Amino acid sequence: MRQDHNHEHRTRPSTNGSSANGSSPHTNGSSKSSGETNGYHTNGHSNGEGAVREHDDSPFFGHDREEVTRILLQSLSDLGYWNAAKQLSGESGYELEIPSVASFREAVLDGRWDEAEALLFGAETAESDGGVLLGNGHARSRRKSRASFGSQNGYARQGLPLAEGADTTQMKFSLRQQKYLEMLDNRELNSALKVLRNELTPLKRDIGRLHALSSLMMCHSSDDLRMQAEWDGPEGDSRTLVLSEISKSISPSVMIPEHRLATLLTAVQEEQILNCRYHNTTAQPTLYTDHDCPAEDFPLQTLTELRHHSDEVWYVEFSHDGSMLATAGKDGLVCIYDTRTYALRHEIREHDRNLNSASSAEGSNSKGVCYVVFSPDDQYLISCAQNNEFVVISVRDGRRVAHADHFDYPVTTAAWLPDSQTFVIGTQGSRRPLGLYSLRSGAGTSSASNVVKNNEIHSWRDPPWDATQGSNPNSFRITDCCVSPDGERLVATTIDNRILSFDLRTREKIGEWVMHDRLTSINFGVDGTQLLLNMNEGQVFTLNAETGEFVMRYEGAQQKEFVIRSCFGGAGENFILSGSEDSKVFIWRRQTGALVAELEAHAGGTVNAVAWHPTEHGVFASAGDDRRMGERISDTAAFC
Amino acid sequence: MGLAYNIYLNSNKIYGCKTCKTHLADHDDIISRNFRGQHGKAFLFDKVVNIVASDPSERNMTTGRHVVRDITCRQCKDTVGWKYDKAYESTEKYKEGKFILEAELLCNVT
Repeated sequence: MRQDHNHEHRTRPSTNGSSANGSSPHTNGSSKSSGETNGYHTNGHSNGEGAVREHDDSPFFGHDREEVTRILLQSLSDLGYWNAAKQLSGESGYELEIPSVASFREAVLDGRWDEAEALLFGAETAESDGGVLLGNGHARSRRKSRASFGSQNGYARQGLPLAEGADTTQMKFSLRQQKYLEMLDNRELNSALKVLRNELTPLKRDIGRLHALSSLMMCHSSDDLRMQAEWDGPEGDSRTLVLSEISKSISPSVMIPEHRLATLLTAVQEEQILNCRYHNTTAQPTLYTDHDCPAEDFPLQTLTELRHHSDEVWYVEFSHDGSMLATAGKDGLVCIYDTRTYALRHEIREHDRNLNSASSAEGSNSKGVCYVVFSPDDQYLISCAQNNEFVVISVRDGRRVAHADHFDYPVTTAAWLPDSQTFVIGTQGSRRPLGLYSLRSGAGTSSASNVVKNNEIHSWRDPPWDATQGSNPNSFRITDCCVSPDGERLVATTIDNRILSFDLRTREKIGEWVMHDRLTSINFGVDGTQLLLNMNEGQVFTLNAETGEFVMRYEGAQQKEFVIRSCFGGAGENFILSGSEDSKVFIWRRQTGALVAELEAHAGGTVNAVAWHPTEHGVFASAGDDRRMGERISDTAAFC
Repeated sequence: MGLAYNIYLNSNKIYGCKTCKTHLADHDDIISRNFRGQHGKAFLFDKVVNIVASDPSERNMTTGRHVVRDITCRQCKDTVGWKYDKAYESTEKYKEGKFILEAELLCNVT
């Protein structure tokens, strides 16, 4: 008969040798359509296996044999290999679930709520709850009919063992809520009302939800109910969802958390990926070996140097499709290169025209292009210059399509909205620090050359400009700005160390954060959820874009006097790249903040800006004061 | 060397470089107007921004011997005044570390 050394009480129910296992409703494991069967049922071993196996208790490479086997059983069932699971259960002598858990699962999925509750908490507690026997009347009778069923499972009286910190009231609430909703769906309004009064309300939990549920009684039809409650009805996933929710509170050794093996594997893989220094791919690594990317796939060697500029190079950016590279420098020149051959495609000297002769004669700092940005469709390029103007150029032919020079201070930054027609301009001026401009001109433009000029459609200023006043107080001045990829938000940094956040639809300011030192660069990344900032005295860090909370700091870069920029890059935006005043380019892992590489570049000057190729993850570019623009590449990428 | 933005002052009356209008000092920061430079009137300021100071040299001025440095606008490199490093006479010590901007080389910036 039963083993004596079978001290693991959970594994064998005391079936009095019969198939009165209530086996009729328990078909052999493939009954549940949702495929969520956390195991099949207990019939396997009682059929024709007469001899009871001995348990081998030796540990499996340091892990408990029972745990490993049950997890394997769960995985086999999840994968759909029922026969294999049955065989494994038979051979090992372990089962996935004790019968009471199995019946609990069935009860929930079939909608037998009172039975489910009884199984979960034990017969006495279910009855004593609420104190009013009316509501439980029918349940009790039902329970009587299943009494023989209940006695087979040793646990029926005590209920299932719960996990630590399980909230029984919450579990009861979800069960009863589902019951209530199903009754409403069935239009059994009276019973539903009884449930609401006698079962849900005494729990004294979540009054707001209770009110919402009571208001659902007003719904005219079940479709209306489903829409209002965001519930998809008893034949939908709702029962499975309730089961999942409750199973989280049941002790894990009794009811193994769903997909346990997959969870474990994912955790190990993620850990390996985090520790992988040069991880520059988004491909899922194989499970067969420990993952570690080799350094060859990472851009560490210089591919080429571009030397068209005659003076410092201040900014570099790739086009969104990766086919072009634009650079801007102190000599007032904007160069656009083709990224396949790195040949110069256009050389744009737009800003030379507007310099007044006095300053150009001095060869002064008043010329210089400090920012260029491609439109999202790569048709246009905005270049922002120190001589108080910006120009929008069509990339195909190098012709200007719009400009504005109604500023009295340098234009420092620009950002496109996703529609490629409107863009934001930030300047150091107090009159028009931040403005929204459009390429589409207003009604009635009759200029022959079709160049749109000074087409500002909105201006942000604090305090708002009052044209009637003789002199207006100074407003914030912008050093950098960026637009979120979905075009909803605009974030800008000011000269007085603040970060301002605006909603682009309503054009209202939605947030303001004060930093303690000068900010030089800001970028959105990771689908607009994080902001990357460069701050003075060598700080590079990321913030949460919604709350402004600090996420991760990246150490090592130097920055004190100059504008240094950084960017996200690499496959899956796994890396953060930044320039530095000590002529090095720094690369960190975004998620962990670990320094991946510190590359010497642009000897003798600051590295002003960096950009990573958006599609070819093995290439990035850097711009420095030695008039050179360096491209770095990994060994394995192919270039002609 | 790299791109660096100018510092901007917040005030109603700001003095800036005559050629490039870079903000230099705030009118309210004037300590004394009783100075004369090579080009006429000059003001003594405590705080001046966007300037580059050159090497110190010893000069004899109307008030005595001082060690001064010429200061130039960061952007256009024009001379705008000087800075007192050291004063040899005790009555002139108050000038140490402060700046002189010559009115002739300045303009008003709104």
